[in-house]
Amino acid sequence: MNQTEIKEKKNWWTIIGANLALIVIFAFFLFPILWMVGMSFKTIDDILAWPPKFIFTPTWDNYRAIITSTIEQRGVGKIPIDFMPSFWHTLIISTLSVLLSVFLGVPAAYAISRFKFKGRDDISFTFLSFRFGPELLVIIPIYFIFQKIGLMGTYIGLIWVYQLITMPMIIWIMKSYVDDVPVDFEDACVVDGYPRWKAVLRIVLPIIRPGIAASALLAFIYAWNNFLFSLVLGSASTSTITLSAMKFISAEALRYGIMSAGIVISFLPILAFSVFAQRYFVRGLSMGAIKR
Amino acid sequence: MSTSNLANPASELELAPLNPVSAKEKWTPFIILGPALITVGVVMIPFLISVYYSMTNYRLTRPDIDFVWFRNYARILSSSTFWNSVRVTFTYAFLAVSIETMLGIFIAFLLNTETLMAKIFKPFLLMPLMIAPLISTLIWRLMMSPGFGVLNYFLSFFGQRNFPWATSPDTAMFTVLLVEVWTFTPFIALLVLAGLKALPREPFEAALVDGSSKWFTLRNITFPLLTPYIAIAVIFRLIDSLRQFDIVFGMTKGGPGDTLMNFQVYGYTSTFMYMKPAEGLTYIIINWIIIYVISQYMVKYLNKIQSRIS
Amino acid sequence: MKQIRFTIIALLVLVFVVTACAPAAPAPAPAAEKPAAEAPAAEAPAAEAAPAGEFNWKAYEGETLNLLMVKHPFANTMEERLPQFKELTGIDVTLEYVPEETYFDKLTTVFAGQSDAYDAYMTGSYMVWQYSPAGYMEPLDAYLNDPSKTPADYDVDDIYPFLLKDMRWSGVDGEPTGGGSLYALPWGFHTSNLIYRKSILQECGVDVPKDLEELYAAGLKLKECKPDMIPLAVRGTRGWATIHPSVMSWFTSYGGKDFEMVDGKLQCALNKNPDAVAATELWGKIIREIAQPNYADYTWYDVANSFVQGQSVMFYDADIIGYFNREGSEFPDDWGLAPPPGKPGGDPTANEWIWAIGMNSFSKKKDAAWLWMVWSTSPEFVLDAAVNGLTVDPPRASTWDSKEWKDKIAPFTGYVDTWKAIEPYTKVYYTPQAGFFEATTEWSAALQEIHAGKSAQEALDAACKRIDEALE
Repeated sequence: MNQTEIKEKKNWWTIIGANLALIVIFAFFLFPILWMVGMSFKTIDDILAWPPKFIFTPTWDNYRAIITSTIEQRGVGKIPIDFMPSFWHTLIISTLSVLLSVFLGVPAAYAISRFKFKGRDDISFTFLSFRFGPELLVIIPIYFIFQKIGLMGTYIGLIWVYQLITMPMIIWIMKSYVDDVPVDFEDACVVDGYPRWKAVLRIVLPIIRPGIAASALLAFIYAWNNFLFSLVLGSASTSTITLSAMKFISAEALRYGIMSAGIVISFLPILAFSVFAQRYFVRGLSMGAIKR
Repeated sequence: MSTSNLANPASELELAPLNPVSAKEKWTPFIILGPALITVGVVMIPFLISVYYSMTNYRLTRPDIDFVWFRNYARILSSSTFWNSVRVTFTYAFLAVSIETMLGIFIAFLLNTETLMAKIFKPFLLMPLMIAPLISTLIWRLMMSPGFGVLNYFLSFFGQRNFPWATSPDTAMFTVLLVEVWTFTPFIALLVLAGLKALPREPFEAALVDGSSKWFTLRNITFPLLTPYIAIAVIFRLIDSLRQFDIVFGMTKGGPGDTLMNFQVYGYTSTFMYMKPAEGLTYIIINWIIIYVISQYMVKYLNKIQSRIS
Repeated sequence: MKQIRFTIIALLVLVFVVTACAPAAPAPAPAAEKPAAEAPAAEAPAAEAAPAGEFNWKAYEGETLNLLMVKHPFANTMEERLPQFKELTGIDVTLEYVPEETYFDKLTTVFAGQSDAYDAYMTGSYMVWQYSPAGYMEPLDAYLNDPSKTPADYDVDDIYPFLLKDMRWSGVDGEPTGGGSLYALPWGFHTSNLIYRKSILQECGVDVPKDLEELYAAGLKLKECKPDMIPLAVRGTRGWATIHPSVMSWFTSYGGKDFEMVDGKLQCALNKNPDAVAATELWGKIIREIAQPNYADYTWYDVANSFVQGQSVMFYDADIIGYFNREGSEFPDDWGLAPPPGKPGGDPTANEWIWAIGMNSFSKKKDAAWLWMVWSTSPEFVLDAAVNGLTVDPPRASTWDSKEWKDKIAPFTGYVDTWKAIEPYTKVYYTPQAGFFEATTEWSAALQEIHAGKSAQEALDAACKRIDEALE
């Protein structure tokens, strides 16, 4: 379906060159991640060894600490850590945020795309502009307001605030995707006597599903990685993994191993989501006026 | 799908509007849009409050607060700290976006060749993005430690075990750009790859029939068709790199000295560490205005490109 | 362009609307000058009213307290002992931990929002100057002096007077600590010292450096003798924490001052004393030539780590780093501690840092919170926490005199002797003023520039210029 398949003759050199280049490039991108995974299986002494150890005896201690939520500390005994609870909090908050954004954003994208109304361009750009409202800009007033209305440290508060991150992305990507779907289908249904919304549901939605998957994944990633909002607006009952991961670096010990294990664990849902959405992913991001 | 766009470019891009016929239909778009707009819009009211703060002398350590109009803005615009931030922010954004775009496009083309390695690596493309930038910066710092860092180990073979990375003003920008490019190039690569996969066949078939060279095809067909995708990716990256915080702050908190004090880092430092929201928020608002203006132009440019295609 | 106009007009309109409606809570609590008068104890809506005249641990039984804590061994030590507190008072305590790096950012936001989400919190000695003028910290004298609130055996005089003194401030920029209200209770403190590997110094024929010049010379010698090791580790990041454990000590010994009162106004004095500037130049040579190569990267974790991992020979930092890490290290008998090197022949002016606990003036459970504060600084707790936990250096003389504590630190060569030598000179040497964070951060940035090659006078001049600007 694309220019590569059309070409019959594939140059041997091109293939080898491409493969080599890809290996080098992905070595660059994947090395830090692999190194971190390695750290999650190392003892702290191995992590801090010089020369760095590429071969070492792996240990499950770090993962065990995270999952059982306790660490041994000399002089104090067992201290509880809150990584797993944060993991669930972050999962819940991110998922719900994205769901809300999809639920509200996709119709919004549809409306912007289909309807010609005054201020359409303005509103569309306004949605984008939420994205360059850096979190720092709103964090202090939101803190005060949340205080007053009691949303501090609640799921709802964070989910609401996360819309600032997730909604613009979903709307902007989905808008282009809806643009791609010709109106003819809906018009035809209306002419035949079907209500428009049925046409949208049964015809348009399935077509744009890949786009929804793709934009949802991207939005999820950004929500998952957020730090500032949960630091300031959260409390112990809603702390997120980024915050928890940072707590492993503290006065009495630099727990790089446990931190790495925590990051690997927090990595997994996104990886799973992305593999699942992978099928839709690349197709889903085709945007603009170009058609297959 | 439909070939109507090639035959009828204009109508497609006017996006076949639905002309409201009745009063009820006129309000329909707003009804559909409404919840989304309200949900996010309400969150932006604090934005206005912040604007208000930036026009005061609000300090978290003093109880009184006076409205001072634009004095903060005037003071800042004449301070060397501000212009340093301007320089740092723009250098960072410009270099980041250029490198990421070129590299991203290159990677997209490589992945598009569908060779063995391409098939193997494609699912892992987004991995750098999946870790919070603050944390991945931390991991990079561990790898860059002269005491036990694996990157320094590799460099030691070139006699550079003590490569200063982010601790020297000369190499600090390079270091944060390294992490930035590592984290966000996949974003661009993915968007461009999607674009490549979505290109229509006809122009290429025609070119083949005409016997055009590979270079010709590349330059005059592929790239122009790709431009909208590239443009969207560039817009997003430009916006984000102009307001980059996590990587820079995580690496050196703006140091060494003032080498990496971009707008966001200074805004955060001033607001939370020096307890002067009036000053910090002013910086961030100026940052916001800059991004706003630049995005305006970029979006217009994007629309122009889209109407020129086909 | 229509878009821009539309948005700008909308913005301006809304800004005026918002302004007119006096938004949320920009003005922090009134009365910056809250003297050490009656604390509004009547505000505490305790389940049972505090019985008049008699102290009762169980006065607030059933109450719940929320505490904001740094992720720190002190907090962990206290948390381990919370069941005792529950038994004693019947009060439930929930803790929230924040990573140390961002702790004060969070605390600042809590205060600025006048939140009652936390009743008490950890704070540091210097933060009193930031938080007390705006009325965020509850003055504690009224609680301390009230026999119905404080147990008779609390023995406040047992707490080192110089520590309590440094937790008092009048609220006026430039005035020294010790006057005005008491704002926090000391939990643990540390002094600034030099810690070294005894065996390596011996091996290389280096005497324990007594001043900055000897430190430099020793470092050079160590570099030759042990080229694979870092002679001296120090903090270097761009932040206030870089200055107090080392720089402030030697800077002061050369007669340097951070601020001076000039015509009734505070002015930055970092660049004014020629001896101190010369010392800074020497420090520049030290950090360039004998300190860790990635100078600007090191936080105190990195300093501690480099020593424990056997990478550095000496470090100039807090004495308690030694305490936390010595026993678990591979060379527990090889740690030595000496007074902070400064001016040749000068006094060992050791700057101190105090972790303390304070009360949120917006809390609605002040009396209950006070019970917790009293419990966690009581003689029994302090002794137990120091000997069996990690809360050191203990703030009470009785602990230092106790056999258990003495036994505990005996293996640490020089710990006790050094403490005896520097005790008379240990204090907070900073000039109290609300811009503390900014001034010291700029100072640390200047040091980074010096490390990169700038001259000390130039870098300090530039820093002073920025600091003076910020003071307006």
